[in-house]
Amino acid sequence: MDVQTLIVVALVLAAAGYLLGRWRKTLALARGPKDGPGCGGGCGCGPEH
Amino acid sequence: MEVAEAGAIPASHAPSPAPSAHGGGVLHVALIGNPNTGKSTLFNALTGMRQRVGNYSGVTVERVEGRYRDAAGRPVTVLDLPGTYSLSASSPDEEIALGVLLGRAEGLDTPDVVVVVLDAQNLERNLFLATQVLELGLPTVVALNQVDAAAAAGIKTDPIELTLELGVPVVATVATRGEGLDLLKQAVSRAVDLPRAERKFDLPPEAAAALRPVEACLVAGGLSASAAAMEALRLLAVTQLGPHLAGIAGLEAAVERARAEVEAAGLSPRSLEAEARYGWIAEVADRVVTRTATGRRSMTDRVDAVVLHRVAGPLIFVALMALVFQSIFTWSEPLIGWVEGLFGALGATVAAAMPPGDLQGLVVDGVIAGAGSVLVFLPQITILFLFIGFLEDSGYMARAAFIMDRFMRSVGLHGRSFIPLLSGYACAVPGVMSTRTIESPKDRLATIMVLPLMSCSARIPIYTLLIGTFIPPVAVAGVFNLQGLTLLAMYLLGTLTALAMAAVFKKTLMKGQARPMIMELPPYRLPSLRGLALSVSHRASLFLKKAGTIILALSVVLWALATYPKTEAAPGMDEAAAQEAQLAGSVLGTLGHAIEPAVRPLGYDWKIGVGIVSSFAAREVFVATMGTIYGVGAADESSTSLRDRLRAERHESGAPVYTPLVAVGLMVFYVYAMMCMSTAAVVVRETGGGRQGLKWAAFQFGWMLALAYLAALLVYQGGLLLGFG
Repeated sequence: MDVQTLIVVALVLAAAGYLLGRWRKTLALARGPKDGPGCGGGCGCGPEH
Repeated sequence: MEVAEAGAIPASHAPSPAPSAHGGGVLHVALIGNPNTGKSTLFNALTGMRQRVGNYSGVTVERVEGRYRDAAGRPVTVLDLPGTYSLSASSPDEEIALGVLLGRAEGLDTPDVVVVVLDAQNLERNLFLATQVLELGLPTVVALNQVDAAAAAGIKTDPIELTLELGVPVVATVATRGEGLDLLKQAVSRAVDLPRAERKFDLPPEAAAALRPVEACLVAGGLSASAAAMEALRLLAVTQLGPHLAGIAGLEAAVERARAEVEAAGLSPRSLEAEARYGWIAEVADRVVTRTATGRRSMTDRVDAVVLHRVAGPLIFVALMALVFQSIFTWSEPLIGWVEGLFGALGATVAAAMPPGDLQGLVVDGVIAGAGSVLVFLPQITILFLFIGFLEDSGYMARAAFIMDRFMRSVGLHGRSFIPLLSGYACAVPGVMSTRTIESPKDRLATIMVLPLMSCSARIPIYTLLIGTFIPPVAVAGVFNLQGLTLLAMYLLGTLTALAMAAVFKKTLMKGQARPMIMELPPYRLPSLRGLALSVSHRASLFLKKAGTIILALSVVLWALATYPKTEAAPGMDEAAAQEAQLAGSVLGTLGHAIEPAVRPLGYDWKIGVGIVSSFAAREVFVATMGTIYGVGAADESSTSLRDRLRAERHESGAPVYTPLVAVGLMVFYVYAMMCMSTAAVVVRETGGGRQGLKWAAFQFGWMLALAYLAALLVYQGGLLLGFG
């Protein structure tokens, strides 16, 4: 596996890991406290609202 | 500013002191008033930073308490009751306020003194609550607040005259500047020793006679005679007695009999209290209020006479929205072309600078073509929120809510449902959370169920990509153009369908009675540039953040799925065919071909099918997916505009994949489909959590997806039959 492919694999895995983390955060929202932080800040419904 | 004055109690009234229910030398004060009277500002001015925030027992209504010491050094605790327009006890907030004043709130005794905060600019409306509080027979002080703003609007209220009319001390205050606070504190400290106010108006004799058994019942249940009289009159108009009266024997039957007797006398049980109170209030206002200038309020009134007109109001609203949507296209087109050119040049530069290979493909086709295709819509998002900010800050949005209230009630929803629905235009998540203000659980559930139909900002990239690419910018009726009207049609389609579905839910699964809404209409004003800039930059930064995180990461993953496994080009295959074969053989291509039979009846090919599936995470991902797919599948890198690539896309037969009919069908699909994980998660939580929440979220996802599919099918197949293909 050459260096370029290694970088690509690392970037794709990092992106997939980030999405997995966001997915878990969204699932936690469904169980979270009633005054939780909304969608996690992605849509503008965070603490400033 | 007027010098703050305290009204005087006539000497003829002998004091009738009442011992503190709490003892311990601490004076317990409850602060009550309509929303927007400056009540919380007054509370902060009285108590400084010495506050404690908690919840009332058993409910999520916030309980805020603070302390100060009066001139004699006696500690005074102040309880800031929720803002309420009346003591009708029809929402959790009003129920709490009434329960506290009657000494029936869990963990709280009857307050020693009640301070009623009145907005001097809206005295008549504020006096409704004040007269109800006075009749409870508790030591009461009235804070006539915002007298400076009232004076600027040409309204002057005489606190001494008002004191004589109400029979309790009235203190003029300007809470924002701390004016009148010392007098208010003095009046509070002395209020316990002053005589109690009594009802100032007489009821028709038949009504008074009909209410006597109810009053007797309430007194037997532990209420004072004056509180029982206020409660008996209030109970005539409400449908439920309220938990604070639970357990009083025979009360419900007594109220029913009283209603029947009042009706038999030719009076209306529902409006008897409002007519009696407002009749007296109008006379008092005539005596104590002087209007010296017309000022800003009359300009507001003159504009409202047109803007809130029954016929002209909705027409103005729709015309204004059409102009807004049209401007989005007209103004943003040059900017979008510029941003597209920027990303095109960036892609070409990066492609030239990097050696060919997968890393170059990831950066050019995944990052720049994927996330970049969403970023292109920043100008439109910015312009839309600039307009929304202007309409909100100018005071027009409150009028829009007022206009919509009529339609809300016609479908059986409470007027309060409109505010969460309005929030849904920005994002469904805060909209769903703000349904907590709706008192009826059935109204709340119905509102949550239809809220994602309001077109949120995540749909804008999809709408504007498809409209800008496939709907011609032709003029309509001289003033409007077809692109703006198409965007308006998408917003109206979502809104009207939300109302229609709410009507269906309210007549089937969630039956209940509609209630009127009371809302404040602020005076019109010119929005500040700073405020607009802050709100637009906040929205734009959120959009950039989402494009730079979730959408960027999804674009990278989608690029990998569209690139692997590699397919060797067959001998003699040209570059375009090789690219297409590579895409078709990838994970994304395999998935797309598997779902193609399901989307083919809607006029879509497998690539659109993949775009739809990937956008279940978030709607804008559709655009990013298209950017990535057409980036990977493009043989000619010189045309990097996604719009150009969509226009050029052909079926094997040579027919264009995207036609205006397909584009409209796809937009209709996105109007209806519930494609947002964050919204689904918050619906689970707000509909009870656990299995119950999951059940409602699944129900919502199911009916919205079914509606989206059927509507898109109807548009495409119906359009073909009519010859629009």
